[in-house]
Amino acid sequence: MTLSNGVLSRVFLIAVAAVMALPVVATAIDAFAAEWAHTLLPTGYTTEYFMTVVGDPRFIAAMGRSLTVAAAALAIATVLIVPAIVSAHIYWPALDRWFARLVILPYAVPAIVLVVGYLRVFSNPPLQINGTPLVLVLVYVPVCFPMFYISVKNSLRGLAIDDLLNAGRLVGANDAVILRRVVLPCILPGIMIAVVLNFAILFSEFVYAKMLVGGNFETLQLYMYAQRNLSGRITSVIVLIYFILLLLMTLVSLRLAETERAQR
Amino acid sequence: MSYLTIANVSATYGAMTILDGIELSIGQGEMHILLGPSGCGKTTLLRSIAGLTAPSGGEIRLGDRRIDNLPPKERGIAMVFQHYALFPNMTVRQNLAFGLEQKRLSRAEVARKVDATLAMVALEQRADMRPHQLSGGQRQRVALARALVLEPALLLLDEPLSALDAQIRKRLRDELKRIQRESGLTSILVTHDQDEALTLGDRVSVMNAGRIAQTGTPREIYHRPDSLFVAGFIGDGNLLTPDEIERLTGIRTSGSAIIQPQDLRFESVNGATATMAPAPDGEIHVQGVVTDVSLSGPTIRYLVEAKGLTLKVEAPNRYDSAELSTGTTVRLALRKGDIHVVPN
Repeated sequence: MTLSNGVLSRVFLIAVAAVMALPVVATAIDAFAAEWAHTLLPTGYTTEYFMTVVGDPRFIAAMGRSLTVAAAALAIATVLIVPAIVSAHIYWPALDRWFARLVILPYAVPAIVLVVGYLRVFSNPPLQINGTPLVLVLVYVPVCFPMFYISVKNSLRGLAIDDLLNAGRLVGANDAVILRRVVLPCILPGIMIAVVLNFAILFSEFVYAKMLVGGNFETLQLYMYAQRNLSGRITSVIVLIYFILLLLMTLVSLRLAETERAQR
Repeated sequence: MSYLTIANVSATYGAMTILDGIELSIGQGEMHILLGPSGCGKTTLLRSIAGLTAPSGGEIRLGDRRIDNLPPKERGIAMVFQHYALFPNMTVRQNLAFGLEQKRLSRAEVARKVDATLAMVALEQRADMRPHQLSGGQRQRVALARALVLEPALLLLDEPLSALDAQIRKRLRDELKRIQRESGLTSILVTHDQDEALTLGDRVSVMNAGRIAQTGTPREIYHRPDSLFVAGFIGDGNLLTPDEIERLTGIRTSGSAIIQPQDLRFESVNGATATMAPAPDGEIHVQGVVTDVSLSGPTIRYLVEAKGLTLKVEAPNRYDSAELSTGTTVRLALRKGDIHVVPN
């Protein structure tokens, strides 16, 4: 019984994994295919398309813009959101309950609705910055909130914060010192996981970029969108590069999660 | 000579009264135990002394200073928490050094004090480990060391042993006692475990519903409880009403009385010896039947049915003395002096 169950579950697992992997593998093969029309597999392979994309200054520039916007938004988000979550957790539990509700906001409200709202806010003084990269940076900050909240809150829950603060206060440290020297190092892996996952989200963001900034500021996703009619190969290469980047980030975040678990 | 004086300290939480006019004075070098059921206010009292909770009234003096209006770090008080509260990101050594660094001591001074304290709790080998690499007992020793290294004027221990399993708890209890005696550090330990209280305490305060029910030496608390609550909470004695006492012994008492199980002695079994011998002066003999036998380590606990009452009787558990089986007829002997009337 147990054996056949084990075999059966393995068969299903492998089948599901294969179904999930197939598009990725196919995309990867397509990216390096020279000719792929009437056969199961390509008849020849080439790095031509790959080199075309990597060598395209427009691609490099789009990549650079995406990286810059994501990094800027994340920097602001980290500095604003992490202290807010930590202080709500410790000092204002009532506020914390509202944070927990806010988490679903970006998922509950369609991006397009938010975009319309943003367009109104940013088309009038004092923040008349529509169409500039700055808008993108600013609207990306709240997008980061849910991931930060979930990840940092998880790390905080694992700490007996009240006891740690009391222990620190009794040995003569003020709260700022305890937060900096004890709490922050303990939740750092959680913060890093949130940063990496948010980075992946922002990197693949399309709706805000298209609607708020459009052609003025071509991000990676907008570049992909613009290339969609040129050649399937080119799109495959872009998707592959993008996928590898995400994979690397996921690995980093898994690694960080390991470290965090080991500390407990 | 009172070293720590607590005068009329009260604490409320919303409409609830947690502490109700606590009066307590503790001598220098004393190990004082706050004992009571959960919710009796013992932890709140401890936290009020430490400054982690603000009492709503009263005065706390340590030495010749009034401390109840000082922030925690200026009180010179160290505390050991039930769940250790070690800084998880720091090594054992860093945990100990953290408080000393806040005092801006020189690096050499910090190292010297940390090493000396680690030696006191026998953790030199673990100095560079992090808390998650240590066992529960070791963690609590680190927590104790972290408190001791600051050379506090008063050490507070909040149920320090209750998160540990039985074997380690017993060992750490002895070690705690040794360290406290050696350092001569005035200490207050909160516990709900009466064995711990009686073993460790120089004096014990039994708390109930926000008040101190009785303060005394472990012997006084155990043998001479001065309220029904303390009599019921400490030990596992036979607490009898005046009517029951009269039925059992023929003596009329002014109130309920407690008879400790080990003060009831088996005088004879199945009428074997001196059945008709009159009880000597000051002693009372009662006929009964064993209804239950249970072994609890060093003693055997019997339930004996006598004159319609079920009495708990305790006898030493020796290998060569056969235990009595249920149904055995026995005669119990009791000294009149061992009937303690609980004042009300």
